[in-house]
Amino acid sequence: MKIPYYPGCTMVERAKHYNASGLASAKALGIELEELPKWTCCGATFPLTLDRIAGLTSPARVLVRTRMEKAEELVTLCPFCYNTLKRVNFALKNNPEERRRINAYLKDDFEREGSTYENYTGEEVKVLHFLEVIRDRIGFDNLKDHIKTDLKGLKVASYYGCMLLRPEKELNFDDTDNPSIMDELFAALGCEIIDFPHKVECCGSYISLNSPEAALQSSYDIILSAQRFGADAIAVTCSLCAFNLDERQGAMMEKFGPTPPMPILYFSQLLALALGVPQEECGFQLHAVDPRPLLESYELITAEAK
Amino acid sequence: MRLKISSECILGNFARRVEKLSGQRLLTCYQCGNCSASCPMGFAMEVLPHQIVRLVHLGQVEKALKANTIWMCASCITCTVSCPRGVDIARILEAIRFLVLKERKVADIYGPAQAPEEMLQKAPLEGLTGIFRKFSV
Ligand code: SF4
Ligand code: SF4
Ligand code: SF4
Ligand code: SF4
Repeated sequence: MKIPYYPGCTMVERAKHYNASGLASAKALGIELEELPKWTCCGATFPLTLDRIAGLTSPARVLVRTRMEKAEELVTLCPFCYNTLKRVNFALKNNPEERRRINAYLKDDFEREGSTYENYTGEEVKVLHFLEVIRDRIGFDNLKDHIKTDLKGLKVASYYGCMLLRPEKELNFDDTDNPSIMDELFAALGCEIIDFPHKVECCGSYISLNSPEAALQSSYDIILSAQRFGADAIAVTCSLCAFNLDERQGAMMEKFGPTPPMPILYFSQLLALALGVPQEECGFQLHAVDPRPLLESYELITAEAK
Repeated sequence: MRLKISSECILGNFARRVEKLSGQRLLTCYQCGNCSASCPMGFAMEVLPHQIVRLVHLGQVEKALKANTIWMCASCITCTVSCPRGVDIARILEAIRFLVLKERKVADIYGPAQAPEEMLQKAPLEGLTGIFRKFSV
């Protein structure tokens, strides 16, 4: 199964281990995620005011590019990309005036590049998150045929954050209050599922970059909550969540006092491990809170190959 | 909080522009406070999101803009999905930010020049793009 893949800039820059483990997992599952040629930035955030055509144009360009490749689907890993691309589809479909203006602009743009332009209405390309591809194309029940290493009851708290879930009526990804897609995945991989009340609370998002003190509190609440419910590790889907929960854990200790370290892993790293991807390709060494002692204690990785 | 209200200031120019930019009617909000109760950044806000809606509606723009609320908002959309009246309050806050930035009513723009080196080196790009776009129109 071949599907175009939109990495987005973070995946090729600062979340290379997320990207690599995601691609390796896909390959092990027989899915070929093919990088979209000539992809451009989606702009990261969906513009919430109604007259910001420029903010809609960059994500729309990505979708038009996908269509030029004769594809009807586009897969992402980054939840910000997922959110932005999917919301733009919704906006184009439901707002004729925006659709007209954006198409007029992009037509000009693509024709200058020498391509023939076809009007894009917001329905031609379906945006999918890799988790949805696993759920809907492979099926969690069928994962057992692919599993090489059972994850031996590793206690994983799935943290969903915001961008995959909200607004529910546009994204339609999972239940906003009580999502389960990652929990179902980890149950299939042999993990013990830790349900915890903070799984959909925002971690502070990019507020951590200009009001670090405020965001630190939001992130700390999430870690503490997972700890109280007995998690060994928190699984995330977003590199900004990873930054706030992992990279900033040192600052939390300084501010709130020491707590036991909580490893933060991308869901794809655990998936890759279960699918038999060599541990060196999973990027476990690239975390602020080192997850290797935990994974070694469960005999999921070996110490030598650090 | 003491407010001086007259018929001239209710739903004034600023409020109308917020309504137009956000596509939301301010009066649809019946001030139940669900949005503020669900807001993950509420603890750090000087005035809560639902109070901002009412202040803008009543023409108390200075008070609404003096608070740190719009800058603490992470656009996480939790408020929007909690509103029993279907008010997209995240859009209202964005519209206010937009107007403030457009009219240069804010002194402390946050851009690459203001970000600490450590953040620029380590933060993921969607975070940097997100925060910089929040301070630009
Ligand atoms: S959202 Fe981010 S990661 Fe996705 S392409 Fe745009 S800026 Fe990059
Ligand atoms: S950083 Fe986390 S909480 Fe924030 S948007 Fe990503 S998923 Fe949401
Ligand atoms: S939840 Fe909706 S109705 Fe209630 S205060 Fe907030 S915006 Fe108003
Ligand atoms: S979008 Fe802003 S106001 Fe609404 S819940 Fe999130 S942080 Fe609070």
